[in-house]
Amino acid sequence: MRLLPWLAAVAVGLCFGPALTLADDPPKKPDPPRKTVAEPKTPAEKLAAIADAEAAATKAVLSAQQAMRKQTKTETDEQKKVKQEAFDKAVAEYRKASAEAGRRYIALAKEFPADPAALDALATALQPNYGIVLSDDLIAIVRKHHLNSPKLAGLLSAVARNQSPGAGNLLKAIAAEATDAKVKGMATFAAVNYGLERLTGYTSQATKADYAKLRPELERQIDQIATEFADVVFNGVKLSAGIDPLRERLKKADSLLIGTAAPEIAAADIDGKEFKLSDYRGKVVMLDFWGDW
Amino acid sequence: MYPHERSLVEKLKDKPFTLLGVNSDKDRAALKKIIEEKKLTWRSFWNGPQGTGGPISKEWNVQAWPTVYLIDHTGTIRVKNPQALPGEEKALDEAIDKLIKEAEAAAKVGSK
Repeated sequence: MRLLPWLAAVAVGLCFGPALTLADDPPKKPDPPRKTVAEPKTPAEKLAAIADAEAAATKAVLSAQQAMRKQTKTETDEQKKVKQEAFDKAVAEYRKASAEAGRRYIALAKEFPADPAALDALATALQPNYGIVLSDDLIAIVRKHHLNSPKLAGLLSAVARNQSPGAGNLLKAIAAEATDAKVKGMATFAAVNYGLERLTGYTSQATKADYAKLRPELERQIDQIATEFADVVFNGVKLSAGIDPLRERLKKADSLLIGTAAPEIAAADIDGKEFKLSDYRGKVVMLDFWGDW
Repeated sequence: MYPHERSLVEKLKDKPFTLLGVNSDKDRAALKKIIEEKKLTWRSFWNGPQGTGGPISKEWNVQAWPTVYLIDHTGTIRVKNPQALPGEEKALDEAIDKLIKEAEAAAKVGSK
């Protein structure tokens, strides 16, 4: 059974292979107050209510999935089908609930732009699985009200993985305009991650030309982290520890780009028989990295 | 994705197209059973006993499963994860069709 990547990003706990996250920069959900009140009034209470509604749908999808994976030897095809249908239904419900939650987070941020809850709402809704485009009015909320907030780390992690062009603009703006050195450092680090994601991300279609265009700025930003922000702590880790991995990723991003030659694969098949990817030259090859887990 | 992959392989069996897997299951014996049960007719490289940490997925910088690359008839990478682009399976099908047309056109020129 394989899940779509957007769900894998959520179902990290169940591990369908590595989820779609930056290794050095795990997504962080904000910590809304755990107690849901019947009629949420304050922005923080409203935020918790949205999170709880979504969590219920996530829980349903995970338990349907667990039921499906607990197959017994005596199970009939009919029983398998019933479980599969329950799972498909839960996934559809989850997608709906998630889209609805994304809309509600954004509405909350717009209604109470100056409240700390707006920052938490944006930090959640801008994670890539919600598919929300970072528009100018949302950028303005962060720049106007939260530019030097100590709670900006969560938002920066989310925005680094949000592939809308506005995300790059916001990170640049924060790095330039924040007066707090820690915020500046985190934003610069997030901007590098954003750039690397544009080159190597799951659905990136970046070419050699894109790489040539982005590389000088990414190098400059990494140098800046090394000289100015090495001691800044981001998500519990000193940025100095991230510099070499970033340089390594930038170097590696030069391969596997669209329009470049596919690296040769010469290996054994499932039966132990050797063959090569280039044996199929002349044909279109759909190369599918898969696993049955 | 298996049902869609099965239908692609069937639909495109007379076209210049191949579905190749790179499998990252650790247990090769168990894998053989799955391939049989689920009627996966296409060939796969095996990523080795380290599973997702194996050498092929490392070389191809695979961070998430499944990851798909479409490679054209000249051996050039053309599309990454089309199944995750807007339109999903339809986007995958359209990208494959476009590359098949190119391969057929090139074969025609070559045979003249």
